[in-house]
Amino acid sequence: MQFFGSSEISPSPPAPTASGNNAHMMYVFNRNGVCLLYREWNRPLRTLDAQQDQKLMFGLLFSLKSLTAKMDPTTAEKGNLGVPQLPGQGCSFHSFRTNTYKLSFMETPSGIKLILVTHPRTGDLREPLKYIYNLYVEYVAKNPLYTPGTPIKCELFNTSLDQYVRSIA
Amino acid sequence: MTFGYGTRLRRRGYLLRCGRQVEMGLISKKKWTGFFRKSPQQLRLPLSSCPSLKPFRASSPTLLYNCTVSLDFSQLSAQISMAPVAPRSGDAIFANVERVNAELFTLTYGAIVRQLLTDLEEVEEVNKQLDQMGYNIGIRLIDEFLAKSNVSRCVDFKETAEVIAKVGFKMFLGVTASVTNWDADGTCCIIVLEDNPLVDFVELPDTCQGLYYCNVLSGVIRGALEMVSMKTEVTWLRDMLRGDDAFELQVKLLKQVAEEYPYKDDE
Repeated sequence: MQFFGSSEISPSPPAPTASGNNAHMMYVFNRNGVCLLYREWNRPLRTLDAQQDQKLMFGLLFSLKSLTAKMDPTTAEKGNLGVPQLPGQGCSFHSFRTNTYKLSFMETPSGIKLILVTHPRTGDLREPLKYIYNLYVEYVAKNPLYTPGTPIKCELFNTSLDQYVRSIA
Repeated sequence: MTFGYGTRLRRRGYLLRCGRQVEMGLISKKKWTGFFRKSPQQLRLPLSSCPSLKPFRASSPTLLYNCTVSLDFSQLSAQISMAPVAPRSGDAIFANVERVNAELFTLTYGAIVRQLLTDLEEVEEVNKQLDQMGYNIGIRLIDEFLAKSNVSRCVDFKETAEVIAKVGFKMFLGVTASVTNWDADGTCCIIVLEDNPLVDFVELPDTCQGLYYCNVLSGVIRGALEMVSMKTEVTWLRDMLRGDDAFELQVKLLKQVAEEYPYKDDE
Protein backbone atom coordinates (compact mmCIF):
# COMPACT_ATOMS: atom_id res chain seq x y z
CA MET A 1 0.00 0.00 0.00
CA GLN A 2 1.29 3.45 -0.75
CA PHE A 3 0.05 6.88 0.08
CA PHE A 4 1.24 9.60 -2.27
CA GLY A 5 3.75 7.05 -3.46
CA SER A 6 4.61 8.56 -6.80
CA SER A 7 4.36 12.24 -6.08
CA GLU A 8 7.44 13.64 -4.42
CA ILE A 9 6.18 16.86 -2.94
CA SER A 10 8.54 19.63 -1.95
CA PRO A 11 9.30 19.27 1.77
CA SER A 12 10.91 15.95 1.10
CA PRO A 13 14.09 15.15 3.01
CA PRO A 14 17.38 14.80 1.21
CA ALA A 15 17.91 11.63 -0.76
CA PRO A 16 19.45 8.73 1.08
CA THR A 17 23.15 9.00 1.52
CA ALA A 18 25.56 6.14 1.36
CA SER A 19 26.51 6.09 5.02
CA GLY A 20 23.17 5.04 6.43
CA ASN A 21 21.57 7.76 8.43
CA ASN A 22 18.18 7.25 6.93
CA ALA A 23 16.35 5.33 9.57
CA HIS A 24 14.33 7.61 11.80
CA MET A 25 12.99 5.38 14.50
CA MET A 26 11.86 1.94 15.41
CA TYR A 27 9.06 0.65 17.61
CA VAL A 28 8.41 -2.84 18.91
CA PHE A 29 5.01 -3.57 20.39
CA ASN A 30 3.49 -6.71 21.77
CA ARG A 31 -0.12 -7.73 21.39
CA ASN A 32 -1.22 -5.88 24.51
CA GLY A 33 0.04 -2.60 23.14
CA VAL A 34 3.03 -2.45 25.44
CA CYS A 35 5.86 -0.65 23.73
CA LEU A 36 8.71 -3.09 24.25
CA LEU A 37 11.22 -0.94 22.50
CA TYR A 38 11.55 2.53 21.12
CA ARG A 39 14.75 3.43 19.33
CA GLU A 40 15.40 6.75 17.75
CA TRP A 41 18.17 7.63 15.35
CA ASN A 42 17.09 10.71 13.56
CA ARG A 43 13.98 12.54 14.66
CA PRO A 44 14.21 16.31 14.66
CA LEU A 45 10.53 17.03 15.29
CA ARG A 46 8.81 15.75 18.38
CA THR A 47 5.42 17.04 19.44
CA LEU A 48 4.05 14.48 21.86
CA ASP A 49 5.41 12.93 24.97
CA ALA A 50 6.85 9.50 24.47
CA GLN A 51 3.96 7.55 25.88
CA GLN A 52 1.33 9.33 23.82
CA ASP A 53 3.45 9.03 20.75
CA GLN A 54 3.69 5.27 21.18
CA LYS A 55 0.02 4.93 21.86
CA LEU A 56 -0.76 6.90 18.74
CA MET A 57 1.52 4.76 16.64
CA PHE A 58 -0.05 1.58 17.94
CA GLY A 59 -3.51 2.96 17.34
CA LEU A 60 -2.62 3.99 13.80
CA LEU A 61 -1.40 0.52 12.94
CA PHE A 62 -4.30 -1.18 14.62
CA SER A 63 -6.89 0.85 12.77
CA LEU A 64 -5.03 0.75 9.50
CA LYS A 65 -4.88 -2.99 9.71
CA SER A 66 -8.58 -3.39 10.25
CA LEU A 67 -9.24 -0.89 7.47
CA THR A 68 -7.04 -2.71 5.00
CA ALA A 69 -8.74 -5.98 5.89
CA LYS A 70 -12.12 -4.37 5.46
CA MET A 71 -11.22 -3.00 2.04
CA ASP A 72 -9.84 -6.30 0.81
CA PRO A 73 -11.61 -7.04 -2.48
CA THR A 74 -10.53 -10.69 -2.62
CA THR A 75 -12.33 -12.25 0.32
CA ALA A 76 -16.05 -12.55 0.81
CA GLU A 77 -16.42 -12.96 4.54
CA LYS A 78 -15.36 -10.07 6.65
CA GLY A 79 -16.96 -8.64 9.68
CA ASN A 80 -18.01 -5.09 10.22
CA LEU A 81 -15.33 -2.50 10.58
CA GLY A 82 -13.99 -2.44 14.11
CA VAL A 83 -15.25 -5.88 15.02
CA PRO A 84 -12.32 -7.75 16.57
CA GLN A 85 -10.65 -10.26 14.32
CA LEU A 86 -8.66 -13.31 15.19
CA PRO A 87 -4.96 -12.64 14.94
CA GLY A 88 -3.74 -13.54 11.48
CA GLN A 89 -7.19 -13.31 10.00
CA GLY A 90 -7.64 -11.05 7.04
CA CYS A 91 -4.90 -9.39 5.07
CA SER A 92 -2.27 -7.11 6.48
CA PHE A 93 -0.19 -4.32 5.08
CA HIS A 94 3.57 -4.20 5.17
CA SER A 95 4.41 -0.60 4.49
CA PHE A 96 3.08 2.79 3.63
CA ARG A 97 4.88 5.77 2.27
CA THR A 98 4.24 9.46 2.59
CA ASN A 99 6.17 12.21 0.93
CA THR A 100 8.40 12.53 3.97
CA TYR A 101 8.83 9.07 5.38
CA LYS A 102 8.19 5.40 4.85
CA LEU A 103 6.80 3.16 7.56
CA SER A 104 7.48 -0.55 7.31
CA PHE A 105 5.50 -2.91 9.44
CA MET A 106 5.68 -6.55 10.34
CA GLU A 107 3.47 -8.51 12.67
CA THR A 108 4.22 -12.02 13.80
CA PRO A 109 1.53 -14.54 14.74
CA SER A 110 2.69 -14.20 18.33
CA GLY A 111 1.61 -10.57 18.23
CA ILE A 112 5.00 -8.88 18.10
CA LYS A 113 4.79 -5.80 15.92
CA LEU A 114 7.94 -4.36 14.43
CA ILE A 115 7.80 -0.87 12.99
CA LEU A 116 10.64 0.84 11.22
CA VAL A 117 10.34 4.40 9.98
CA THR A 118 12.81 5.37 7.30
CA HIS A 119 13.46 7.73 4.44
CA PRO A 120 10.66 7.53 1.84
CA ARG A 121 12.97 6.21 -0.83
CA THR A 122 14.12 3.12 1.04
CA GLY A 123 13.26 -0.11 -0.70
CA ASP A 124 11.37 -3.14 0.51
CA LEU A 125 12.22 -3.77 4.16
CA ARG A 126 10.30 -6.99 4.74
CA GLU A 127 13.41 -9.14 4.80
CA PRO A 128 15.32 -6.75 7.06
CA LEU A 129 12.38 -6.75 9.47
CA LYS A 130 12.48 -10.52 9.55
CA TYR A 131 16.13 -10.30 10.37
CA ILE A 132 15.40 -7.88 13.18
CA TYR A 133 12.85 -10.36 14.48
CA ASN A 134 15.64 -12.92 14.54
CA LEU A 135 17.77 -10.50 16.52
CA TYR A 136 14.87 -10.15 18.92
CA VAL A 137 14.71 -13.91 19.32
CA GLU A 138 18.42 -14.28 19.90
CA TYR A 139 18.98 -11.40 22.26
CA VAL A 140 15.63 -10.89 23.93
CA ALA A 141 13.43 -13.97 23.84
CA LYS A 142 16.35 -16.21 24.76
CA ASN A 143 17.63 -13.87 27.43
CA PRO A 144 16.82 -15.42 30.80
CA LEU A 145 16.93 -12.03 32.50
CA TYR A 146 14.20 -10.66 30.28
CA THR A 147 10.64 -10.99 31.51
CA PRO A 148 8.23 -11.40 28.59
CA GLY A 149 5.91 -8.43 28.16
CA THR A 150 8.18 -5.83 29.73
CA PRO A 151 10.21 -3.13 27.99
CA ILE A 152 13.46 -4.42 26.59
CA LYS A 153 16.56 -3.32 28.42
CA CYS A 154 19.22 -5.27 26.68
CA GLU A 155 22.39 -3.53 25.56
CA LEU A 156 23.45 -6.26 23.21
CA PHE A 157 20.16 -6.11 21.36
CA ASN A 158 20.33 -2.35 21.06
CA THR A 159 23.88 -2.38 19.77
CA SER A 160 23.28 -5.04 17.16
CA LEU A 161 20.05 -3.38 16.14
CA ASP A 162 21.77 -0.02 15.70
CA GLN A 163 24.49 -1.63 13.72
CA TYR A 164 22.13 -3.53 11.48
CA VAL A 165 19.79 -0.63 10.85
CA ARG A 166 22.75 1.52 9.89
CA SER A 167 23.71 -1.06 7.33
CA ILE A 168 20.30 -1.28 5.67
CA ALA A 169 18.92 2.20 5.65
CA MET B 1 32.77 -43.14 20.66
CA THR B 2 29.02 -43.19 20.97
CA PHE B 3 26.75 -40.65 19.44
CA GLY B 4 23.17 -40.30 20.44
CA TYR B 5 20.16 -39.16 18.63
CA GLY B 6 20.59 -36.13 16.49
CA THR B 7 24.30 -35.97 16.89
CA ARG B 8 26.00 -34.66 13.89
CA LEU B 9 29.48 -34.42 12.70
CA ARG B 10 30.68 -31.19 11.39
CA ARG B 11 32.95 -31.82 8.49
CA ARG B 12 34.16 -29.22 6.08
CA GLY B 13 31.37 -26.90 6.97
CA TYR B 14 28.61 -29.40 6.31
CA LEU B 15 26.58 -31.26 8.81
CA LEU B 16 26.13 -34.95 8.62
CA ARG B 17 23.47 -36.47 10.72
CA CYS B 18 23.66 -39.94 12.14
CA GLY B 19 20.63 -41.90 13.15
CA ARG B 20 19.64 -42.85 16.61
CA GLN B 21 22.03 -45.01 18.56
CA VAL B 22 24.87 -44.88 16.17
CA GLU B 23 28.25 -45.93 17.32
CA MET B 24 31.01 -44.57 15.30
CA GLY B 25 34.56 -45.30 14.66
CA LEU B 26 35.99 -42.39 12.85
CA ILE B 27 37.26 -40.82 10.41
CA SER B 28 39.61 -40.04 7.69
CA LYS B 29 39.36 -36.92 5.73
CA LYS B 30 36.71 -37.92 3.29
CA LYS B 31 36.02 -41.36 4.65
CA TRP B 32 33.49 -42.01 7.25
CA THR B 33 33.30 -45.38 8.93
CA GLY B 34 30.57 -46.31 11.30
CA PHE B 35 28.87 -49.18 13.04
CA PHE B 36 25.17 -48.68 12.84
CA ARG B 37 22.54 -50.46 14.84
CA LYS B 38 20.12 -49.80 12.06
CA SER B 39 20.37 -50.76 8.45
CA PRO B 40 21.03 -48.06 5.90
CA GLN B 41 17.37 -48.15 4.92
CA GLN B 42 16.33 -47.52 8.48
CA LEU B 43 18.86 -44.76 8.70
CA ARG B 44 17.25 -43.28 5.64
CA LEU B 45 20.49 -42.55 3.94
CA PRO B 46 19.66 -41.95 0.33
CA LEU B 47 21.88 -44.70 -0.94
CA SER B 48 20.85 -45.13 -4.50
CA SER B 49 20.68 -41.47 -5.18
CA CYS B 50 24.08 -40.80 -3.77
CA PRO B 51 26.63 -42.38 -6.10
CA SER B 52 29.60 -41.84 -3.84
CA LEU B 53 28.20 -44.05 -1.08
CA LYS B 54 29.52 -47.54 -1.10
CA PRO B 55 27.24 -50.38 -0.08
CA PHE B 56 26.92 -51.27 3.55
CA ARG B 57 27.75 -54.71 4.76
CA ALA B 58 26.37 -56.24 7.86
CA SER B 59 28.73 -57.66 10.43
CA SER B 60 26.59 -60.14 12.16
CA PRO B 61 26.88 -61.11 15.80
CA THR B 62 26.23 -57.72 17.32
CA LEU B 63 23.69 -56.81 14.70
CA LEU B 64 25.68 -53.79 13.80
CA TYR B 65 25.92 -52.61 10.30
CA ASN B 66 29.44 -51.76 9.46
CA CYS B 67 30.01 -49.35 6.71
CA THR B 68 32.65 -47.26 5.17
CA VAL B 69 31.34 -44.37 3.29
CA SER B 70 33.34 -42.12 1.17
CA LEU B 71 31.33 -39.17 0.48
CA ASP B 72 30.90 -35.86 -0.98
CA PHE B 73 29.63 -33.97 1.99
CA SER B 74 27.85 -31.28 0.07
CA GLN B 75 25.83 -33.83 -1.82
CA LEU B 76 25.01 -35.94 1.20
CA SER B 77 23.90 -33.17 3.46
CA ALA B 78 21.67 -31.80 0.75
CA GLN B 79 20.09 -35.16 0.24
CA ILE B 80 19.63 -35.96 3.88
CA SER B 81 17.74 -32.80 4.41
CA MET B 82 15.47 -33.87 1.58
CA ALA B 83 14.68 -37.21 3.21
CA PRO B 84 11.06 -37.92 2.37
CA VAL B 85 9.87 -38.74 5.87
CA ALA B 86 9.27 -35.34 7.37
CA PRO B 87 8.38 -32.17 5.54
CA ARG B 88 11.47 -30.52 4.35
CA SER B 89 11.09 -27.44 6.41
CA GLY B 90 11.31 -29.23 9.74
CA ASP B 91 14.38 -31.16 8.68
CA ALA B 92 16.01 -28.18 7.12
CA ILE B 93 15.54 -26.09 10.22
CA PHE B 94 16.80 -28.89 12.43
CA ALA B 95 19.90 -29.03 10.28
CA ASN B 96 20.60 -25.38 10.77
CA VAL B 97 19.89 -24.68 14.41
CA GLU B 98 22.35 -25.02 17.22
CA ARG B 99 22.07 -28.36 18.95
CA VAL B 100 23.24 -29.88 22.16
CA ASN B 101 24.32 -33.42 22.75
CA ALA B 102 21.27 -35.63 23.16
CA GLU B 103 22.49 -37.50 26.21
CA LEU B 104 23.43 -34.30 27.95
CA PHE B 105 19.96 -32.96 27.25
CA THR B 106 18.22 -36.10 28.44
CA LEU B 107 20.28 -36.36 31.59
CA THR B 108 19.88 -32.70 32.42
CA TYR B 109 16.16 -32.98 32.12
CA GLY B 110 16.24 -36.08 34.30
CA ALA B 111 18.26 -34.22 36.89
CA ILE B 112 15.71 -31.41 36.93
CA VAL B 113 12.82 -33.80 37.47
CA ARG B 114 14.77 -35.60 40.16
CA GLN B 115 15.51 -32.35 41.94
CA LEU B 116 11.86 -31.29 41.73
CA LEU B 117 10.83 -34.58 43.30
CA THR B 118 13.23 -33.96 46.14
CA ASP B 119 12.17 -30.36 46.63
CA LEU B 120 8.42 -30.68 46.28
CA GLU B 121 7.94 -34.23 47.55
CA GLU B 122 4.42 -34.58 46.14
CA VAL B 123 4.20 -36.08 42.66
CA GLU B 124 1.18 -33.93 41.88
CA GLU B 125 3.15 -30.80 42.72
CA VAL B 126 5.96 -31.91 40.46
CA ASN B 127 3.51 -32.40 37.59
CA LYS B 128 2.23 -28.91 38.14
CA GLN B 129 5.67 -27.42 38.35
CA LEU B 130 6.82 -29.16 35.17
CA ASP B 131 3.76 -27.88 33.39
CA GLN B 132 4.44 -24.36 34.59
CA MET B 133 8.07 -24.58 33.50
CA GLY B 134 6.94 -25.78 30.12
CA TYR B 135 4.48 -22.92 29.85
CA ASN B 136 7.22 -20.42 30.59
CA ILE B 137 9.39 -22.03 27.95
CA GLY B 138 6.54 -22.09 25.46
CA ILE B 139 5.76 -18.40 25.59
CA ARG B 140 9.34 -17.64 24.59
CA LEU B 141 9.87 -20.58 22.34
CA ILE B 142 7.06 -19.54 20.05
CA ASP B 143 9.05 -16.56 18.83
CA GLU B 144 12.04 -18.65 17.99
CA PHE B 145 9.81 -21.11 16.23
CA LEU B 146 8.08 -18.45 14.17
CA ALA B 147 11.31 -16.69 13.30
CA LYS B 148 13.04 -19.82 12.08
CA SER B 149 10.17 -21.65 10.45
CA ASN B 150 8.85 -18.66 8.54
CA VAL B 151 5.33 -19.57 9.50
CA SER B 152 3.45 -16.35 9.03
CA ARG B 153 -0.01 -17.14 10.25
CA CYS B 154 -1.70 -19.62 12.56
CA VAL B 155 -5.42 -19.14 12.35
CA ASP B 156 -6.61 -22.60 11.51
CA PHE B 157 -6.26 -24.95 14.47
CA LYS B 158 -5.98 -28.04 12.28
CA GLU B 159 -3.14 -26.59 10.29
CA THR B 160 -1.47 -25.39 13.45
CA ALA B 161 -1.54 -28.83 15.05
CA GLU B 162 0.04 -30.33 11.95
CA VAL B 163 2.76 -27.72 12.00
CA ILE B 164 3.49 -28.40 15.66
CA ALA B 165 3.80 -32.10 15.05
CA LYS B 166 5.75 -31.97 11.82
CA VAL B 167 7.87 -28.86 12.17
CA GLY B 168 7.87 -27.97 15.86
CA PHE B 169 8.83 -31.34 17.29
CA LYS B 170 11.36 -31.84 14.54
CA MET B 171 12.93 -28.49 15.12
CA PHE B 172 13.32 -28.67 18.87
CA LEU B 173 13.49 -32.39 19.68
CA GLY B 174 14.60 -33.92 16.42
CA VAL B 175 11.61 -36.25 16.23
CA THR B 176 8.45 -36.18 14.22
CA ALA B 177 5.03 -36.64 15.70
CA SER B 178 1.75 -37.39 13.98
CA VAL B 179 -1.68 -35.95 14.47
CA THR B 180 -4.69 -38.24 14.65
CA ASN B 181 -8.20 -38.62 16.04
CA TRP B 182 -9.71 -35.32 15.06
CA ASP B 183 -13.12 -34.83 16.51
CA ALA B 184 -16.01 -33.68 14.37
CA ASP B 185 -15.66 -29.92 14.82
CA GLY B 186 -11.88 -29.92 14.53
CA THR B 187 -11.12 -28.62 18.00
CA CYS B 188 -9.60 -31.66 19.60
CA CYS B 189 -6.87 -33.94 18.39
CA ILE B 190 -4.21 -36.32 19.56
CA ILE B 191 -0.52 -35.89 18.92
CA VAL B 192 1.27 -39.21 18.86
CA LEU B 193 4.93 -39.30 19.68
CA GLU B 194 6.60 -42.62 19.04
CA ASP B 195 10.07 -41.49 19.76
CA ASN B 196 10.84 -39.26 22.69
CA PRO B 197 14.41 -38.32 23.50
CA LEU B 198 13.38 -37.09 26.95
CA VAL B 199 12.78 -40.60 28.26
CA ASP B 200 15.95 -42.36 27.15
CA PHE B 201 17.39 -44.15 30.21
CA VAL B 202 14.26 -43.40 32.25
CA GLU B 203 12.26 -45.78 34.38
CA LEU B 204 9.60 -44.69 36.81
CA PRO B 205 10.07 -46.11 40.31
CA ASP B 206 7.01 -47.41 42.15
CA THR B 207 6.86 -44.31 44.32
CA CYS B 208 6.39 -42.04 41.32
CA GLN B 209 3.68 -43.83 39.39
CA GLY B 210 1.52 -40.72 39.17
CA LEU B 211 4.30 -38.68 37.62
CA TYR B 212 3.90 -37.33 34.12
CA TYR B 213 7.57 -37.32 33.40
CA CYS B 214 7.27 -35.36 30.17
CA ASN B 215 4.76 -32.88 31.50
CA VAL B 216 7.06 -30.09 30.42
CA LEU B 217 6.12 -30.85 26.81
CA SER B 218 2.44 -30.31 27.36
CA GLY B 219 3.26 -27.03 29.07
CA VAL B 220 5.37 -25.91 26.14
CA ILE B 221 2.56 -26.58 23.69
CA ARG B 222 0.02 -24.83 25.86
CA GLY B 223 2.26 -21.79 26.32
CA ALA B 224 3.23 -21.53 22.69
CA LEU B 225 -0.36 -21.81 21.48
CA GLU B 226 -1.51 -19.24 23.97
CA MET B 227 0.87 -16.75 22.40
CA VAL B 228 -0.84 -17.24 19.06
CA SER B 229 -4.18 -16.64 20.77
CA MET B 230 -5.30 -20.22 21.11
CA LYS B 231 -6.30 -21.23 24.59
CA THR B 232 -5.79 -24.95 24.84
CA GLU B 233 -5.87 -27.78 27.28
CA VAL B 234 -3.14 -30.36 26.87
CA THR B 235 -3.31 -33.70 28.63
CA TRP B 236 -1.39 -36.94 28.44
CA LEU B 237 -3.44 -39.91 27.31
CA ARG B 238 -0.75 -42.51 27.00
CA ASP B 239 2.75 -42.64 28.32
CA MET B 240 5.44 -45.16 27.44
CA LEU B 241 6.85 -44.90 30.93
CA ARG B 242 3.58 -46.31 32.20
CA GLY B 243 3.74 -49.22 29.85
CA ASP B 244 1.87 -47.87 26.81
CA ASP B 245 3.37 -48.23 23.39
CA ALA B 246 3.51 -44.55 22.48
CA PHE B 247 3.21 -41.10 23.92
CA GLU B 248 -0.12 -39.49 23.22
CA LEU B 249 -0.98 -35.92 23.95
CA GLN B 250 -4.51 -34.69 23.67
CA VAL B 251 -4.70 -31.08 22.56
CA LYS B 252 -8.08 -29.48 22.97
CA LEU B 253 -8.84 -26.01 21.69
CA LEU B 254 -10.88 -24.14 24.25
CA LYS B 255 -11.10 -20.77 22.62
CA GLN B 256 -9.48 -18.53 20.08
CA VAL B 257 -9.05 -15.08 21.45
CA ALA B 258 -9.88 -12.22 19.12
CA GLU B 259 -7.59 -9.27 18.83
CA GLU B 260 -8.93 -6.27 20.68
CA TYR B 261 -7.80 -2.73 20.97
CA PRO B 262 -5.76 -2.92 24.18
CA TYR B 263 -6.17 0.60 25.55
CA LYS B 264 -9.28 1.24 27.59
CA ASP B 265 -9.69 4.99 27.43
CA ASP B 266 -8.86 6.62 24.14
CA GLU B 267 -6.44 9.39 25.07
